[in-house]
Amino acid sequence: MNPTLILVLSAIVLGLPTAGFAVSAISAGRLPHRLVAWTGPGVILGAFVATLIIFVAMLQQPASSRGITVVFWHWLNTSVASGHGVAAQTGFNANFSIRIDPLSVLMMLVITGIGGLIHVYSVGYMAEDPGFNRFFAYMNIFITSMLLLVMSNTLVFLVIGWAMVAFASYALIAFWYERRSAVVAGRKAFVTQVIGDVGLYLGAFLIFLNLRGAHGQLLHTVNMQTIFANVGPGAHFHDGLGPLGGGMVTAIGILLFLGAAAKSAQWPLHTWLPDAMEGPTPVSALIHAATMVTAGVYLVARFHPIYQQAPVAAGLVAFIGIGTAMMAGIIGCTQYDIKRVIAYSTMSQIGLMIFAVGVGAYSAGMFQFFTHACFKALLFLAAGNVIHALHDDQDIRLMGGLSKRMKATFVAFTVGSLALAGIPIFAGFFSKEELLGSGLALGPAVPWLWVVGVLVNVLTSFYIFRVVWIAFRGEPRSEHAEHAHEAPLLMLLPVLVLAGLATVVGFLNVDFAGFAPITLFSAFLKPVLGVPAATASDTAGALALLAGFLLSVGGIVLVWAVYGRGLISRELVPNHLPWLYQLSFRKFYWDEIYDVALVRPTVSLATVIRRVIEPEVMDGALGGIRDSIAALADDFRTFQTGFLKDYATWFFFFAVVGLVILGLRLS
Amino acid sequence: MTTLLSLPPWFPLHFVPASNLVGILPVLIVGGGSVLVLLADLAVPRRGNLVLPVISGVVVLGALGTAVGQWILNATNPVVFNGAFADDRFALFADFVVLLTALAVICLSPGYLRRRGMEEGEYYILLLASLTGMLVLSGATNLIVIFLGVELLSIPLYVLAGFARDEPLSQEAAMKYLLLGGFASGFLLYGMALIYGETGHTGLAAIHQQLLQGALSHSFDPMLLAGIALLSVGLLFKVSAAPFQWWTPDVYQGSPAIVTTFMSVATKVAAFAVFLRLFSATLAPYRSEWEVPIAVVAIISMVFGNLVAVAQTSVKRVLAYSGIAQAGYILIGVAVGSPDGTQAALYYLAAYAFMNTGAFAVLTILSQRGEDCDRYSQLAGLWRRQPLLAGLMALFMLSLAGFPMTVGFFGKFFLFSAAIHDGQLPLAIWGILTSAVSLFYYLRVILVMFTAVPDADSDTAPTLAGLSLEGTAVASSTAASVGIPAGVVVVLAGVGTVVLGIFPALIYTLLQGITVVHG
Amino acid sequence: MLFDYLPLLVFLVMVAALGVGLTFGIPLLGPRHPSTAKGLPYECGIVPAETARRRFSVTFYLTAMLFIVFDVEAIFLYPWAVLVRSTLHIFGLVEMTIFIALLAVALLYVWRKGALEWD
Repeated sequence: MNPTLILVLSAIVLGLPTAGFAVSAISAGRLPHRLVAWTGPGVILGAFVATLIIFVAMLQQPASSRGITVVFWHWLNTSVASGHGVAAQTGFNANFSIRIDPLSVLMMLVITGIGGLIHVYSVGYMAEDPGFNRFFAYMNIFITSMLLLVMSNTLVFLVIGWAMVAFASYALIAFWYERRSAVVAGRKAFVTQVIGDVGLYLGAFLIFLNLRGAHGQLLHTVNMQTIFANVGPGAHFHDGLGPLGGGMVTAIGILLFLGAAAKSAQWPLHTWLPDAMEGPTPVSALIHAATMVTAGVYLVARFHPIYQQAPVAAGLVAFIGIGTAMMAGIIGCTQYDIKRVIAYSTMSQIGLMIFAVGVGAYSAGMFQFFTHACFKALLFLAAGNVIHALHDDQDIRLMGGLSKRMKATFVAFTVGSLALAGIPIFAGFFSKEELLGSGLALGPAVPWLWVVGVLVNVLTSFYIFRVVWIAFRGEPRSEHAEHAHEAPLLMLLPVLVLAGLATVVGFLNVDFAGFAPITLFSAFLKPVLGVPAATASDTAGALALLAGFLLSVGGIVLVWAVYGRGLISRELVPNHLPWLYQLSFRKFYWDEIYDVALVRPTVSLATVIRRVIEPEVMDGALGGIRDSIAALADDFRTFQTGFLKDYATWFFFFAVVGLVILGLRLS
Repeated sequence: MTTLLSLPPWFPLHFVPASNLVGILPVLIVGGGSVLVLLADLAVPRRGNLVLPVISGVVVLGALGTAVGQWILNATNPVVFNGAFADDRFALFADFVVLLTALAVICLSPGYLRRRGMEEGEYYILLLASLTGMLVLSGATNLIVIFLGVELLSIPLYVLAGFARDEPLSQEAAMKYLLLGGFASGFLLYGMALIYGETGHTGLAAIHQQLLQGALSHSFDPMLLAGIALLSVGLLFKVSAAPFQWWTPDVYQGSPAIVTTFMSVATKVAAFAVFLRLFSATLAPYRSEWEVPIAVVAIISMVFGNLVAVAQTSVKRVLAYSGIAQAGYILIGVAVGSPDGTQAALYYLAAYAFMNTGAFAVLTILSQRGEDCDRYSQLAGLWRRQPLLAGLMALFMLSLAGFPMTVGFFGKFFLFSAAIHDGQLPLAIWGILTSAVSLFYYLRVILVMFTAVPDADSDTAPTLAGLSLEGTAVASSTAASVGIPAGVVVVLAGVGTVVLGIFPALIYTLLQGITVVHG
Repeated sequence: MLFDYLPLLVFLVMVAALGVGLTFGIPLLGPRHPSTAKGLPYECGIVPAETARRRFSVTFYLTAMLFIVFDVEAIFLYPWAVLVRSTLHIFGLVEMTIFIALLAVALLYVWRKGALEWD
């Protein structure tokens, strides 16, 4: 690939959304909405086109030379600044350099492509909102941050992008800042992100401090390519513990995953995600499909050379992923807020991806990410159409009968649900089967992890079709539902495009259970992620496939039986297993646990600090310092009398003092 | 170089090789420019026209272009006039800073002088004359030339300090500056005499050789040391380092703000240029002897300047004491003595030029007829009246305090790290501690601008955006023609402060490999 | 090593002693017969006509200063005139032309600014 071309194109990819942000932000409310309605989505689609060109240019290359690093500028380059010959090797250089390889290009395509569609949709969805320009400023900076995160080639800019994503998500979740619940939700998201950020920072610092090169020397580098080149299995092993040392690499893996867990809403940092539904629906779509929650999956996939050296950390990642997937699936079955159900489904699906990257099926995890981006954006935007039509009602109990009134949206939502549930020909089927198949092959010896994964599948198809049934079938149960109208074309168009994508993209990679392999997707990612160490045997794979498929269908049948025909009472679980129902309905009580265990002690501590320590200790100490400095200043200032004779005398005096000291030293 | 210039055949090449004249071309241009401005002042005696500032600006630009050319050509032997003057990159870097500052001052001048009602042609003549002295000083490699530069620099400044002729404070400033300046010149000259007496040379290279021999045999000549000490006292006066700073607050406060701008930045840069050249090159063999005294002076300057600034009520005085403190910081670079230290000091000088010119430029823009903008109350509520000016002023204050993302941060960073690398940890610790103290008064300026309620009478202050510089008497086109350059200068200073705070390498790479020549 | 400078110290002490001795010695040793005439300012042997604290026109100082400046500059012409034919040649001529030109510019400036007018 021509480095100059890539440099220019990636500058465009990063620059356009930034420019869009600048235009919307600096103009504040002054620019007409109609202009921002063009620039806001326009810059993202422009970035998408530039990404496509990079993608095409990349496809021209043989697979082995598809990775390229381009440097925008040298920053904080102490290896030059210190001027010592030796320092050139050990100097620190936080280049602003970006990495263009199949993995980052895939992320960029999804971020700008799906993100662009969501932007187009937002023009319709937010048309009446007075904060229209502000909304697009936040959306654009969100895209910029996410692009920076996936394109960065140094830990420094990875961290910067990581933190900017947290900020942008905070701004968007709390977008309707007049609503207290929105502000609280934004704050919760931000605080959780910061906890995760700390993990990422510490992990990055540990890498920076401890990584050794081929000759055992400390590298002190933030360049991610250098890091990966030196932690890989081919690298020099040092003290038999690898270049980082056995415990160290595990610690790094766990710390990095702390960051990933906060972004990807994995236990124990998951509670912000459902609350984040307080933001406008396009924001949910953006967070869930194109940007934020996928950052964790990306991080683990990008740092897979480290996880390959840290089986304990990778195992932990896999366990947490599958556990979160199961937990979120159970919670999703009892929720009534249409967006929350989809939110828990995201948590669950991301859990599966995390499981996949945890067990080493990186390509499968990324494929699930890719298809998930399509159908999850579809589900959210379709849900947005419903909410828009119902004047911001989100409770599915208030819906009903929408399939007749909003046909296109119904079809789109159903397509999304089928894809989510993993019904054949829809995208989710292929990715999920591949994921579970490689999970089966690669996972720890216990096959029950795979069993849990399949159970998650049942739950998935149950809760999403429960929504389809309650919201779209039957008779309208509220006045708004009665008068619901199909969404305008501007909002429908992106939904239909996504519906098309959710149907077809699965065929990019049909690679499981001995089917005629189409491996476009995994072959594309192979230069970065490598091939899985093992694949499931044909027989086991076929059985797994069949079981998974049947159970998915079983979930739909269950919905039909409960909500369609009433063959099974809806009160069955609440009556007979009340604890399970309560556990699910109350979201496993995590919010309450955190409130008691963390929030209240923190608030009490803060109160003590505010009431006692700050006024007495801090103010007292600072005031004392301030006063003594002021007193000293007054003392010294008396020397400066303003009289020329004094000045000349002092001048002479000090010159003589200097000479006398000189004389004393010499004699 | 000689081929660049085809001279008429009668020119005595054997006596003054053309390369000599090429070497001092910036000096010649600025010196000649001041004569040109003087003649132009006679030709166009009408007050308030822009002929003189335009000529001065063109002259400075010409010198700047020449200096850039010299930098690029970088003659292999940059010493001219038998080793009396060097146009090495070290001198050229100082020239850049000084010339850019002068250009900024010239852009600010017409509007300021008009508002203060002191549009006299002499102003530009004196400015250029002083500038000539600075350019001489930055390249001087001979004691005589150093003295020539110091006096050429100082004498026009004495007059400029008293340029507000009907203001007693200005008169007082001029008188104090003149007398104390003469006093300091005496020390300088006495030191030079002693050095000459002991070594028999005035050229720095020859002195260096003598010192080298003395240092090799570990016999430090006491008379020579006394000479160095007295020479240092004279120079420390010029850079306003404590305890020889006495003139600084009174002169900075009394002089018209525009003169203070020029004086505080350009003088300091030129004086430090010769200081660095002397100590990092010529006197390097005696380093064991001067290292501690210079470090002590640096600490006294940092402590005294930062402490006393806290107790001030005049903004110009605050900036004067801050200037004393900044001199202390730069002296760290001198005391360290290594190439790192020299580069760090040069970097700080460039940083100082951006932030201090910017801060004073804001004051000049806000100054009105009768008095300079000097009291805190005149800055009160500036944020509401003129957000851009207030924001820029806040930026300059933060930069002077050394906040990250500003050029001042890297200035301090390089100095302190040079000190630490050189094993002079106490210097870095004192620097950091006093920087913390400096927050008291830098932040107070910001606090006043952003929180306090403005004076009722200061609502009519000129605006940067509207460029209605006087509002009534001056036709709007003229007001714009004097207001726009001033605004551009402030904004560019702000942009420089931020951009260099993010990309310090822009300047630092220029400094790479600068070696100091001493003839 | 400082011992080398002992003669210098002796010299300094002698200078100081002489100055102090003369200042304080003369009033002690000399006869003093104060009278009104002796207390008057000396004005070329003529009896003072008015107070010595008279104010002079500032123009006087200006003219005096200008005279001194040009006078001192003119002194440079003497050594130059001695050497110009033997050593300095055409270079000396050029240099002095520049020097004189600068003086001429200064004179022109002073003239145009009206500093030579008495009123």
